[in-house]
Amino acid sequence: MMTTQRSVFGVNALPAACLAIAASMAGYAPVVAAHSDGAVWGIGGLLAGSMLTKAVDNKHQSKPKQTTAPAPAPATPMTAEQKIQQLNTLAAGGYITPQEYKTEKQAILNSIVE
Amino acid sequence: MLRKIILSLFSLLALAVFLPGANAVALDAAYLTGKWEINADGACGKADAEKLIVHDNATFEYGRRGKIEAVGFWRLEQNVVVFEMLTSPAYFQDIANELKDYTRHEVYSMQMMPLDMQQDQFSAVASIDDQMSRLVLQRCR
Repeated sequence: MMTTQRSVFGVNALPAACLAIAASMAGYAPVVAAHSDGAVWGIGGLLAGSMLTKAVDNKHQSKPKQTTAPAPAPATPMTAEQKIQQLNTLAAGGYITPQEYKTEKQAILNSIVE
Repeated sequence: MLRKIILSLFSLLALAVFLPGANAVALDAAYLTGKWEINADGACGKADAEKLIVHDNATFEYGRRGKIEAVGFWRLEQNVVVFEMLTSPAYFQDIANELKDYTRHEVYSMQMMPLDMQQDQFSAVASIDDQMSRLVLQRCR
């Protein structure tokens, strides 16, 4: 049974390492989520990538997996520290630029002062 | 005296309008509602565009090349927009050929953190399960 973990956005997600291993074991090539003109699909690429992973997952399970939407997270406000940790994770992963990190962090710090 | 008060009020109003940051946008339902094109590179209305239509009744539609590929509900959680969606079957084989026989409706949850928000454009980091991507969304009329 695969466990779930918190993603950088605070919502349950399957461990990336497990999915990557499963995909490589099944021999799937990486998703090429691009238009014919070379532009990359955004949300479509994310959906196709998740579907591929799910297809691999189903292939390796004897009984069909029931898909359910995750329950909405409790509406507890994030602390400034948590928001900065979230930013740190995104910056460490290279998903935001140093300038974006600086701007967002400053906005969080400003919100404390207000 | 009354004239002075009125003039002062108008002056304050004008100052508020022209102050730097007065036009800064906030992440709320009013801002998100509308038609957005993803990675459109400044050009709205391309036939094969990737579109996200956010309604003010907390529902949304996502589509590519004129076809709706997912519908669902959205909500704001702090600085993240959560999209819960049901995909249409067998529309993603153009992206990955392995999906040609994948003809089921699927439920997904996408989290999107907007960054660098401007009046009609923002960039974002979005994730579904373990997939993560940078997007640029542009408001299109």
